[in-house]
Amino acid sequence: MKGAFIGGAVVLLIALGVPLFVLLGSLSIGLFAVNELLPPESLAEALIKYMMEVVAKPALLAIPLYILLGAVMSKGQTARALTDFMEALVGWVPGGLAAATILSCMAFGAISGSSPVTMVAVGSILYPAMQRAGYPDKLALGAVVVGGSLGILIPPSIPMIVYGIMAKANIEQLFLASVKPGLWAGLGMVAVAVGWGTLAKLPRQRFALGVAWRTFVRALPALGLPLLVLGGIYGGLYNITEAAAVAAAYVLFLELVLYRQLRWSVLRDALSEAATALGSIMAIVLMAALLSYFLVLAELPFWVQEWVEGQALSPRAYLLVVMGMLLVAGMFMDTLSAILVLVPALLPAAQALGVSPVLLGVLFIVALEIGYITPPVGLNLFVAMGYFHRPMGAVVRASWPYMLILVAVALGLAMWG
Amino acid sequence: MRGIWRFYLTWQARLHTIEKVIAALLLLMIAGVVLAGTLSRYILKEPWFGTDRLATYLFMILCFWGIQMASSYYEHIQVEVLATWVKGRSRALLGAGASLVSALFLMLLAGWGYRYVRLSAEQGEMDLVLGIPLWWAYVFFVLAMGVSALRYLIAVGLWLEVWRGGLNPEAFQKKTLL
Repeated sequence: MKGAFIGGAVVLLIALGVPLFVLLGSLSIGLFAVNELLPPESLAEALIKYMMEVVAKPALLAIPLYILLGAVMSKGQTARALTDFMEALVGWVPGGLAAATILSCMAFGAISGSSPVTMVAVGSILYPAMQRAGYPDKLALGAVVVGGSLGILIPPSIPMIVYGIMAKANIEQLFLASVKPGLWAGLGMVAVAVGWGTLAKLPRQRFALGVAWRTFVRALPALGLPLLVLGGIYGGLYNITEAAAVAAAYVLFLELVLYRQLRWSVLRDALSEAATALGSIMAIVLMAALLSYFLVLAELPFWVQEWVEGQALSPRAYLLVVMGMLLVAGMFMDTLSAILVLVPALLPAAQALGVSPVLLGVLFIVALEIGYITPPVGLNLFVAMGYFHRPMGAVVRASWPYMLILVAVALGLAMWG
Repeated sequence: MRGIWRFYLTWQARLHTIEKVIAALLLLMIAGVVLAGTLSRYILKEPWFGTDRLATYLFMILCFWGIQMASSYYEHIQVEVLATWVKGRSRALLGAGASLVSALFLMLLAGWGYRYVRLSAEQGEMDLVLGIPLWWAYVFFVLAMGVSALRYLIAVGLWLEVWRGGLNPEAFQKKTLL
C-alpha cells in the first residue's frame, strides 16, 4: 500500500513535468516519512543537516571552478583556437571535419569537466562548418553529440569528482585511470568518422603547413591547459580544486590579456551561467544525496551484497551486471543522480569481490556517458535538440554509430579492466 | 498579456542583471580565495589562515544563490516525459501544476531550513577556524528555497496566462546549459 502510494505520486510528478530535484526530493522525503527510518520529530533537522554536510564537502569546491573554466572558454577565443588547430591538423583526411570535432572535444574535455558545455563549445563552431562542407547530418551531428560526451570521461570531470566523494576513492587516481579509456573512445570515434568519410567520398580540405603552424601557435596557450591542470595535479604541485583555480586564472588571463576579445558583459554572463548551472547541479546533488542516504539506512547495499554472494558472481560477471544496470539507469536518470544513488548501493558488493573502486568509477562514468545520449533523459540530446534545432529522432539516429564505440569501451573495461 | 505580468517580467529582467553580477563576483571570489591559498602555500610555505574554510562558505552561498537563480527563469532540469508531447492549453495546465507542486516542495524545505537555522543559532554552532556562527551560511539555504518557492508560485500565474493565450512560455522559461 505504502509502495503503491509512493509509486503513484512519482508517476504523477513525472507526468506533470516537475524539476528533477523536486522529483528526487519528494521521493526521498516520502520514503523517509513512510518507512520511519528516522524519528518523525527529528526528520526535518536530520535531512537539512545531511544536506549541509554534503554541500560543505571540500572536494565539491572544484565543480564551480571547472564550470567557470568551460563557460569562459566557450564564450571566449579558446574554443575557437582549439577547433581551428584541429581542423587544420586533420581536416585533410576523409571525414576530417568530423574527426577534428572529436579531437577538439577531447582537447576541450581535458580542460572543462562538463559534457554539454564541451558539445556546445565545439559544436557551435564545427557543426555549421560540416554542414557547409556537405557532410551528411548523421555524421556531423553524431560527432558533435557523442564527441561532446567525452567531456566527462577525459579528466578533469565533474561526475568523477562526485563519484570520488561518494565512493571515498582517490580522485587523482580516478582521473589518471580514465585517460586510457578516454583516448580509446575518442580515437575509436575518429576511426568511425574517417571510415564514414571514406565510404561516403566526402570532400576533403587541402593540408597547408603554414595554416597548421599558425593555428598551432594560436592554440598553443590553450593546448598547454591540460598540462597545467593534469601536470600540476600529478606533479604534486596542487590538488584538484587548486588546479581548477590556477587554470581559471590562466584562462581569464588568456581571454582578457592575450586574445582580448572577451568583454565584461560577456564574461559576466558566462560567470552567471556557470552559477546557474551550478545551482541546477547542486539542487539535484542535494536531493539525490537524500535518496542515497535513505538507501543506505534501508540497508540496500547489504541486500545487493547478499544477492551477489547468493549468485556466486565472479568480479567480471558483477561488472557486466553493473554495466547493464548503469546503461538502463542512464536512460532514465541524469548522471549525477545515478552516481549519488547507485554508488552506495553497488560499491560494497564490488569491494567484497575485490573490484577496485577506481575501476568501478571509470565504468560508472563510461556507462553513464552513454546515458547522456540515450532517450528519454539524455542531457546531451536535449541540449543538441535546442541548440542545433534538430528533432530528438534525428539526434538519436546520428548518435548510435559513435555510441557503439562507447559501448565497446564499457564492455572492455568490464571484461579486461 | 496582462499588465501585471508585463510589469513582473520587466522587473524580473532588471533584477536578473543584478543577480548575474552578484553570481559573477561570488564565483570570482571563490577562484581568488582558492588561488590565494595555493600561492601563499608556495610563497609563505603555508596556506593563508582559513582560506579553505572561507572558500567552502562562499561555495555554499554560491550554490544556494545558483539554485534561486536557476529558479528565476525556471532553468532547473525538468522531467519532460509527457510535457514534450502535450501542446497548447494542456501544456500550460501541466506547467501550472508542476509549478504549484514545486512551490509547495520548496516552501517545505524553506520551513525546515528556518527551523534548522534557529536550532543552529540557539546551540551557538561556530566555525572554530574563522570564528563565525554557522547559521550565517545556512540562512542562505532558507533564502534560496523561499525565493525559489515564491518564483514557482508566480510561475503558476504565468502558466495560467499562457493558458489564457496572453503569454508565450519562452518569455519566462529558459533551458539551462550544464
